Amino acid sequence: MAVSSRRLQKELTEIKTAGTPCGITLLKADDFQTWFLSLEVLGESQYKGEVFALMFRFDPQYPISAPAVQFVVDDKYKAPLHPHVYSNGHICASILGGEWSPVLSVIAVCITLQSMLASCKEKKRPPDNDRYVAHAPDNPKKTRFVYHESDSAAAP
Amino acid sequence: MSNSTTIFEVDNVPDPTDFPSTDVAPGLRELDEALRCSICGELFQAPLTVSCGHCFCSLCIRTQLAVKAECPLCRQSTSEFYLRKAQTVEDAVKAWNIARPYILQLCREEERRKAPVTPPLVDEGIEFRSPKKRKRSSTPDDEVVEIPKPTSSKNAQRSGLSPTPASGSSTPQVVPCPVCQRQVSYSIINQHLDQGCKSTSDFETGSSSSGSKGKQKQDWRKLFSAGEGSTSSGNKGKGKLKTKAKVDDDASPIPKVAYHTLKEKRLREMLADHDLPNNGDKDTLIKRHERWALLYNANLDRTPTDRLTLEDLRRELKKWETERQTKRQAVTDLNAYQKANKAAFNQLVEAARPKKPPTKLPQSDSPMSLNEVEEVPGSSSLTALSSPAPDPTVIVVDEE
Repeated sequence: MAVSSRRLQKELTEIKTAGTPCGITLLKADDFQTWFLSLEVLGESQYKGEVFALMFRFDPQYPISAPAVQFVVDDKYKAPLHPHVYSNGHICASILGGEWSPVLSVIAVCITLQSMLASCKEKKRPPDNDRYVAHAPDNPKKTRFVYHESDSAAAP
Repeated sequence: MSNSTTIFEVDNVPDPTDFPSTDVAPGLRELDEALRCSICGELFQAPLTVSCGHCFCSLCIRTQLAVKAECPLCRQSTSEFYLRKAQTVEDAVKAWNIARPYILQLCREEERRKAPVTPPLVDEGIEFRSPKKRKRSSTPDDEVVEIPKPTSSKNAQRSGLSPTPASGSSTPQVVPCPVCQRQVSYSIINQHLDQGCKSTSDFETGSSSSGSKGKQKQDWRKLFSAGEGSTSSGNKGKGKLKTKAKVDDDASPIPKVAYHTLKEKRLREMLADHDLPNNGDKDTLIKRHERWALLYNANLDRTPTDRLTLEDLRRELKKWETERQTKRQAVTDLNAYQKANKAAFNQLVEAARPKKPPTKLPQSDSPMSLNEVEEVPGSSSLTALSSPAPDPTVIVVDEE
């Protein structure tokens, strides 16, 4: 069994025995390629009462290579209105790209994104949203994002 | 890779949650966790420490350092040069590999023993201890063992897990062993359990301690010699029989290669030197040799007796390559794919055109094309490694 599958199996067992942190629930994990989790920011925040869904896609190099993570955009779910989240669900977050570390896990990513939403002060799209969404590849991992230290979006 | 059914086939990937939670069996999960590589989640295989002191499997950290030269846990910058063998950790893992199934079995037995006790409580309690002792031990901790109430069942399980001789040493009595069900003197039940219930009659009747000590020594010796000879049997079948040729003690690691300076012919020779297939294009050859060097060098980080044979390594390499190839098929079909989907591509081009001047470079599918596009080292090579299939929109722009 491949390393990636074994590692994901372990994460799944962990989720099933220890449970998920508050506001995070496992929606679907039927294989070792695509998982869905729901995300909610609890407490006072810009996103009070909103529920989002995250899609994780794994390749055989996981966890050496980062999973492709994006918000689900369909009839039921929308991408959160956030300066780092494009309307197609793609996320500009350093840990999903160059700052990924193989010791991170699906749950660790969820927690990071949860706190990214929780700390948001102004609900708005990234400044280049329309242009990006028009040409964005299907897989956000093929995008080369430029990360900024500030949380004030990836504005030039 | 795996398909949707795989997840149900593999319910048997060991991990720390195999052990009961901390309130039932304190420290066991943590111990199991501590002996696992945080990259692959397996018990350490040929553990290496990085300069910051964190420990990983040799293959895991070597693969990761080739992508990014920092510790995955604390992000301190480091390199292959600073990797050191963690011999003590390897020994600990080796012992744990042997002890783990045994301790798991003990935990299960304990659970089974506890389960019936809880509902019909009093009867079982009497069998274990004399009335006299029950009266004597009136501390709350001891009480819960005998009269396990639902509210304090956690405590009961904990104190029951390690029946210390201290609590019953003054009155030696015979109890059924929780594992083998044989009648064993309570004062020596621990030794009996430690020896895997193999103790002979003199043990069960609780004879002189000097005799039992001699026996213990013997058993330890047996344990250790077994450990040296055939640890591999406990090692998830990774170890091999002694008869098979292992990699020599004095074998030296494969040095780094500046692949771009080499001709394809030389690459093929290098692969042939290691009895590896040398077909495929240059990129395939490089990837194959890179991976081989990783596998080979990681194998050298194992204790010589635990090393895999070159045959095993070649099999590993082949497995890895097949995995990559299934992913690569998208690339080989590219031309056909392009032709088949030409209409769809053209549509996309039309959709994209009004917003995007045709002078743009192909790479401008990056969202931040206004910004200077920064090459994040590692991430690009990663992308190349993991997803060789180029994004359709890029192809279209290329065609234009």
